[in-house]
Amino acid sequence: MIDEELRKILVCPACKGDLLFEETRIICQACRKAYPIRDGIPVMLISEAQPWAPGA
Amino acid sequence: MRVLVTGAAGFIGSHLCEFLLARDATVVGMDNFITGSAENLAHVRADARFALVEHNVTEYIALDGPLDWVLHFASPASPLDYLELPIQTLKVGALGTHNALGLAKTKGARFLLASTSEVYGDPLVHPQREDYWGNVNPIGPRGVYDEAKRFAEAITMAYHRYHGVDTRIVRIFNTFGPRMRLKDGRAIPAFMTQALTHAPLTVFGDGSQTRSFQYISDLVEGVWRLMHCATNDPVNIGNPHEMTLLELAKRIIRLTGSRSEIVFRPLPEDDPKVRQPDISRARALLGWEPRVDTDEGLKRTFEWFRDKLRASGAGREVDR
Repeated sequence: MIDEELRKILVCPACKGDLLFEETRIICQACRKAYPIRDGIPVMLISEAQPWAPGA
Repeated sequence: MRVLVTGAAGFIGSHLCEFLLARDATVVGMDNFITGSAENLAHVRADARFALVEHNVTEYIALDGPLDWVLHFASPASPLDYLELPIQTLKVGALGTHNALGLAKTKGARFLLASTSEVYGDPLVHPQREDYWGNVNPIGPRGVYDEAKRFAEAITMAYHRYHGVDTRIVRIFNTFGPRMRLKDGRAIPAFMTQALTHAPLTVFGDGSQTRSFQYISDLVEGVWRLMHCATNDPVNIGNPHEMTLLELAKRIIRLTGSRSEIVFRPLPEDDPKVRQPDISRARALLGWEPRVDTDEGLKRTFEWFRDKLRASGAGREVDR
């Protein structure tokens, strides 16, 4: 899980928009991207993001 | 106080994060883990005031909320790394510094560039004062690092002059200590690993080239003081205690009680012949000077390398 401090400051590196935090990934609903969380470290690399669709 | 450290998982970055947390800062560490390792930060990961993010600073950096300091330490720093990653090294010095400065400007944060004694190149002035412009071969193999840092200094001063960003530039001379990588290619890790496994110490050239080695805690203290000092001009932070590489090799053999011999290998291209900081400016402005004696620093580093090597399975040779 990503701690509170980090949730407050992280934004999408692509659109600077707000993020949705899940257990294993971080989602930008606007860009429809899911950023992975590896070993508790958010991987905020656009090249590593997976495509995401609502309900997926 | 909230601080962003780029290159947080590197050798210097990780010591800096630890130091800042001990002074009650909230620290956001960024690294793309090309040469840094999350293992370097394992002991602070549980700290609620510390957050680690995988990010490539050559891409746009966005963070929400206030930021007081941006400390830009991201870059491959050992010759082995930057010879292997020449484009990334140039990009992080140019685009990475631009992005970090842009963030500092947006947040109204104080910015520090981790520059290097390599901006002096193979120096024609000795020791090196901050007003010496350097002697760098822009098209040589080492030029990727030297010129990236020289560009980084230029864009830092441009942001200061044109945008009024409150900037600092620290020119870091050779620094050593725990958490250097065993195989990062620099003299101290190479000599330590060789001495601990009783392999021959490889000295490049005839070993008469000089370096001045400072212990990591002295550097971090210097950076801290520079952040609290109102100067935008570059400041050398290094230990003026200069020695030849051959002397360093002999010291390490003596210190480790190793049976290793010394062998000589051809000198790499554009290897600087001498290197010694003139630290008059740091003394005058920061009241700073190195406190850890080279041999004491080498001893602490040796203990760390010994434990690291044992853990990596080279134990039998190390203990022999």
